[in-house]
Amino acid sequence: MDYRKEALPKVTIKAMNRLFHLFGDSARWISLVSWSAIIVALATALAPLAFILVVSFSEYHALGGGDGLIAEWLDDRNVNAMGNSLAVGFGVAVLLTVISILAALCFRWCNLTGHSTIYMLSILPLTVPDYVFGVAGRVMFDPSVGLFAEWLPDSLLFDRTSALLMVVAITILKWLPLMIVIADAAIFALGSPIFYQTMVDFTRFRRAVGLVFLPQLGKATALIASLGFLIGFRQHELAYELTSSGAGFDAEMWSNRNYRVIFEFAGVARAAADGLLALGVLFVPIRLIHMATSWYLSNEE
Amino acid sequence: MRSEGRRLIAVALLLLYIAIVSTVPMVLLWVALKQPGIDLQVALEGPSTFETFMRLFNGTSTMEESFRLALKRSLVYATLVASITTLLATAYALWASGWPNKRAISISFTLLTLVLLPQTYLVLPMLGLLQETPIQPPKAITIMVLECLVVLPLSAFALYLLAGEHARRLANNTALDSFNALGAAHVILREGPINIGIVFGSDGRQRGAIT
Repeated sequence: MDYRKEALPKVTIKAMNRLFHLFGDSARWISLVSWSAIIVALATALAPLAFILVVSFSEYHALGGGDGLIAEWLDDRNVNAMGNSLAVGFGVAVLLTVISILAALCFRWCNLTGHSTIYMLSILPLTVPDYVFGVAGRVMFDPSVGLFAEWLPDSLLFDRTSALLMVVAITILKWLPLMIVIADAAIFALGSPIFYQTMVDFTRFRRAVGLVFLPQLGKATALIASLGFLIGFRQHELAYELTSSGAGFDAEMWSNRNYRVIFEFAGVARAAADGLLALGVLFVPIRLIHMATSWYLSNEE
Repeated sequence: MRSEGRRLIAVALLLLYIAIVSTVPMVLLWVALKQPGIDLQVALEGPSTFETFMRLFNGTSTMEESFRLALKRSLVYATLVASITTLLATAYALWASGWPNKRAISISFTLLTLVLLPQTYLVLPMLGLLQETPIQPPKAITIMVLECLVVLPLSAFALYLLAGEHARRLANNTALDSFNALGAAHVILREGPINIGIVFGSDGRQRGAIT
């Protein structure tokens, strides 16, 4: 059956024709469910964006006009908060990507790829909220009362560098299992015949990694990096619990914490202005990751 | 001998993975059982011992009953959100598997970015707007809908990226075996992506916690 509607993009018609060719009329529900999913996703994305834009620009006189908006963005506290959040975002993105890919390759070497235990256990940290991870990190690493206090330097969590590093470390502790699952699933998608073929073709695992597994992991790398960055950027609850009595790491020192506090104190226009700036800044690294993925795929094709 | 060594390393690696995954839950359990002056002691109105900890699961006081209720609610939310998002995301993966690779990834990535970028900044305005609407849905439904909304594009993108090729292969095979689309989806889910879907669905419960 031909699936022809002029309003739909050509690729969609082509894909639907393929599904109808394979399954006949019963493929119609796939299209319905998929369109619903896309509409929901777009609505979820555009509603808050529109809210932030409308409030920022229609009510920006509440900040004293355009100058007030810019002054808000250039405020030292906002700049520091943005810097801290970005540093954690980049740190988490890089380390999560590297460690999860190495772990997935180790699982492949040990023939554990796709092991159901790995997937099942990865849910466990996700059931624990971020702030609880912050509290648990404090219980372990607080230099005065933590479980490992006697082996830790006194300045840990008190100077900015060590505080940021600890936030990165605890965030990775929470999100590493999920990212390992993503990397492992990317390798698992190759399927058993390819695994056997690589064992036959390559006597050294290192050559199989370079020629088969790393290229396959390329797409997952973009996913892990972008998720890692966004997850790291918004760890304000974990960071606040972990570093709240550190050297000035209070509510003003995490970008999205600022937003939450300002919003809750009914400073809607200021909160929206802060959110707008953060969205603009976040767009740059995400766009870079997107471009890198597109470049990788264009080479692949 | 070499394969024996590899098997030992595999066991060690799995144990390391389990240690990483369970570090924080174990720390929390240890704190609850051993450390005085923690919230749990206040909640249980007595010293924290193994018996008092177990009372959380079989005690009759208001505090203990509300703890069990919260636990049950979390499990129901997680199960429902994981089921709905897995179904929607699998349909999307099957649908997009017929697209050219570059276009499908680009669209999926855009959906993911569009939703995740403002997500940090959306929950409070959305809750604020919902509270001002004349019709107030039950809180449980509001939370579940929000959880589905925040996790759906992530699941759809991730499932397509991680299982799209596999879904395409299986769709072709199941069509040869005369399965309909529902049968093909069933086979595809059984063959693996459901694991990933459930993991991301559980993440949805956690993301919902930011509300």
